[in-house]
Amino acid sequence: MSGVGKHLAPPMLAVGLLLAACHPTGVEYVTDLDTVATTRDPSFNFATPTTYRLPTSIPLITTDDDPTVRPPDQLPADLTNLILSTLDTEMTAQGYVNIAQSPSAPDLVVTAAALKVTNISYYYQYWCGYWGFYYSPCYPYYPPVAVSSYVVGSLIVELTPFPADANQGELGAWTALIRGVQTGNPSTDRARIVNGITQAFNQSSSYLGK
Amino acid sequence: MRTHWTRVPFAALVALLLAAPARADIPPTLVGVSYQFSIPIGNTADYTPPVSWRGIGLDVATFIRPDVAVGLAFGWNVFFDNTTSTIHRNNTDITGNQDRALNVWPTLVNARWFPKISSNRDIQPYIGANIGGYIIEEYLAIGLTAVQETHYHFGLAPEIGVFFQNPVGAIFLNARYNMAFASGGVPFQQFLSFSLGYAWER
Repeated sequence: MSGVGKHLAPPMLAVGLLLAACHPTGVEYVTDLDTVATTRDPSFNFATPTTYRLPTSIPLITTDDDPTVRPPDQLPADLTNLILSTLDTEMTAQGYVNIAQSPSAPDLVVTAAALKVTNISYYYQYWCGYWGFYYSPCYPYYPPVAVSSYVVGSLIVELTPFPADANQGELGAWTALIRGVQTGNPSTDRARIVNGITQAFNQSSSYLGK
Repeated sequence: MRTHWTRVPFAALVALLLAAPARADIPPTLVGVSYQFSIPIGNTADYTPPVSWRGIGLDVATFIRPDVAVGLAFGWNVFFDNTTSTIHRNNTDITGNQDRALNVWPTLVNARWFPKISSNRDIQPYIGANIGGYIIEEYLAIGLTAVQETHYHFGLAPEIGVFFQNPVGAIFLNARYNMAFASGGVPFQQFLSFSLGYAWER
């Protein structure tokens, strides 16, 4: 090796390694953790349904309740109204019609739940079997998703075909998971809930929209 | 290891310097190190749009003819982006603060042709072709969740460059169009890398 090469190689490699070894930055603010994820059943044709119905309450799912014993607690009325009105606005914006005032059955049922647990899988099959008789017809009440683990402080929203597909059961055609709606600051959290729901519909509008 | 340097007749590629006539029967091995920056293209640009300013290269080559060298090329290119844009994967869309990174390690074999453009080879251009693999580590972090997967991609990379010989080695510049074919669910990746390096005879 030439003398020059021998002397140049180490600093060049060192500089190169220094440049290349940089790694992604970390989280600086709590809002950096806000995430909106949406997924859909690719076999479901969203061009078909035109009407929907919203729930009247939003369960707060915690580990304290056993759904086979009693229904879970509900979100406070102000938060429930905020979430439902936002969902109504977004569904309408996508071209669907709310038939809350009509006796007709909807094409889609919107469900929502706030999560204070990390595992809700065992809720799916229980609602209609245990508590559905209080409500007729038995619309899906909990988001009947087929995943099992979420993070505390999330809001989950589902669009479920009604009546349920005999082959698929009460699986949602569209699921939104909005993480980061509970930080302890009520005013901020309300804005994050609205922004999160709006974002969920915006990023799905290519197939949800009419 | 040689303790003195021999003036080489012309400079070679990413890591090449030409052998002295007196050693023509013993093809010289040439080593080069380089700084690289890369412009992402296609799927690579979709995932990490910014130009990558983080990259290094190591080349080793030997002349099998006065105008042809074969060698090995290694590198490390880092593509990174912090974004809140929406990422699409398998019927799922995710929006949130994301750290996206691609660590790319090219491992290529190559051949380079040094056309004689003048009797003075102080400035020696070349063209080359690389073939081999790209080890690509794809990293995605959203919120508190991070996903990382690494795959080995078959790849091709045409290349052009030029050597500027000096008494002790050569400075070289090159441009390489890197194409790493889809592997393990990670789509076709492309980027154009530019190298500035120094080569010497070993």
